[in-house]
Amino acid sequence: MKKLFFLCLLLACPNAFPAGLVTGHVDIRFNYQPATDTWNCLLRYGGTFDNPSIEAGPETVALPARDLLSTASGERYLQPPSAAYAFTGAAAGSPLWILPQSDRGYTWPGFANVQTVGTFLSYPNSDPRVSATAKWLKIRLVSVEYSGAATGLPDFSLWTTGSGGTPTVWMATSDGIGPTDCYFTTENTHSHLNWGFTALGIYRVTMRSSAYLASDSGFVESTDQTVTFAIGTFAAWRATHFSGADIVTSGDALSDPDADGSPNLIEYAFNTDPDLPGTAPIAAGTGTSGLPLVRVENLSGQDRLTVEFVRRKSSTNPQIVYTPEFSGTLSAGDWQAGGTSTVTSLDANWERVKVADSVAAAPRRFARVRVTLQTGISY
Amino acid sequence: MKLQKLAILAAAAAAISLPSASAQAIWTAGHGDLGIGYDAGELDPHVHIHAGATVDTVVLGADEEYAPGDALPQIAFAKSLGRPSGATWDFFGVASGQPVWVFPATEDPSLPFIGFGAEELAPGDWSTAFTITLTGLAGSGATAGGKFSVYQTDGFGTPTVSMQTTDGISGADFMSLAAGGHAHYNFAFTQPGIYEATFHITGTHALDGAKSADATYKFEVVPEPTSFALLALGGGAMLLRRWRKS
Repeated sequence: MKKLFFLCLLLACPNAFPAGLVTGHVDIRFNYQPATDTWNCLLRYGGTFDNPSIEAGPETVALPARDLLSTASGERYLQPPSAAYAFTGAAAGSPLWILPQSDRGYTWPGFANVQTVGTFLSYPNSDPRVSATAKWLKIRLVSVEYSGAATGLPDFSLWTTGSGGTPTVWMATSDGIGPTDCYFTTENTHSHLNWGFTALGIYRVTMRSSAYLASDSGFVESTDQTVTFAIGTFAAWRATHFSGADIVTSGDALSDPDADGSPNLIEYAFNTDPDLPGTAPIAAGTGTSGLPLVRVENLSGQDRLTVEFVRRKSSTNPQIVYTPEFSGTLSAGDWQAGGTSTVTSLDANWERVKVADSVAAAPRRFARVRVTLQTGISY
Repeated sequence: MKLQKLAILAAAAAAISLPSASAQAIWTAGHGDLGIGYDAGELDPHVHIHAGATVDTVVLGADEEYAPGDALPQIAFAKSLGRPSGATWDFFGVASGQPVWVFPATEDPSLPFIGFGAEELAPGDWSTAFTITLTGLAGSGATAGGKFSVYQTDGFGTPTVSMQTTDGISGADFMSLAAGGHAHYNFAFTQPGIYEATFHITGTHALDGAKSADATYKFEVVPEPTSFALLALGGGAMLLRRWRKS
């Protein structure tokens, strides 16, 4: 009875257990704790001001951006030629993924803080981006860790665009990370900014909050707090199955945390679980997940090798290429493309593909599906 | 709670023989929302000003709610910006380089930081998002030819305009806000003076059906010379503040 009750609870409130990806309005909250003279950092989402919200430690969830054009309800923009936006680190005309300061109905991250009024010292801040006297709370960039297919180190930036359309840059890695890579907000405020990323992949953005206390003018800084962003379909998949620093290690494309011989990239490509060991091929004609099925079939009176597999639809921008190939010798230079292929749509994201060898199966043939992670994509 | 406050304010205004306009709470800095509530089966538009904001020269120690029009966000004359060039900014209704006054969508601690909020409402109780449509603009600023617009800027600074009176007021001057939602906009004006913007708010309650309300919110671009009259008004406001506390 007790067990049943617990099960019901689990079913009734799945949100009590942090999901991998958080979309919608999400605030990164830095709150000073007077009792312990420390800070805490929580992501608050899924609720409203007066109604219960979900709060999760920043290491349990990730904030995704879709690899779809901004004009097609996605987060992929094109870097403008204007020098005013050179700080993003993207070349003019190149893609830039932005989680925006104005709500567009998907991931909408901002900063918030809730303190007892008068906790922070009011002081004149000479930083030219603010130059005003207020109870300042400073959030500074400590480091950005990237994990993905891009060559070189992609850039992260954080900025607001003002009422006259002019950007104010708060953080940008394109010129390194220094003392000006910080955002100033004030006690008990809540604000939204643009979060920019120049390549697909996982970004672990580490920040620290600080303020001067009104009680004794003491300076108190938080420990490192890391927020994870997942840019693109593969990064989002990684963040669904792994969290925190684990996304970078166990969740890397070539890692095989369930030790079943299929690295994460293969698990992603063939819709299997990277945490559950499995080597079964998909069910012929009906399967929706599993390794490619290779068999000999009699096609038009001739025995032919066929390979059948599930494939992520190109409309989802999966960042991978599937190449079914056949060989008679297994030697490296002998792999050839197949002949006829049939494609069956499964849902919005998946299709099932069957490719037949163009050469007779006798005396022996081999088949494989090569999966390649794309580094640069021409959209 | 709010009605009681209104009554006290009215009594205070009568007692010290000030014009009714002075019953307004003057909001000069900090975060607040033009809020949508739901009370006794009716939409309840209000102004929700958060703790830490400056109202009647005092920093609020706790959140306060006001009836629409009873809280007056102010922006000083000196805070004007020059209208940017480019046709995307024509909606302001003034020529490039001419002054505009904007309560900004991004935080500036020296100005009111104004959002639209329906955070007090549970998303599950409402089957549609709220539509907030501008239906009228009055006040000394509007009479002087001042234009009013509400917009946001995207990551590259391009404006998306929700409301603007430059081409008149029509059904096109609206925005949507989901129950539980909260968003900040730029509120722009082109002449000093008071603006009384009337919004028609509609939404569909999951059980109670279609609901609507009209609310007039006020904004002020403070005219240039700080006159004796204004000082007097500020003094009156402080008196009111004391009265309320007693």
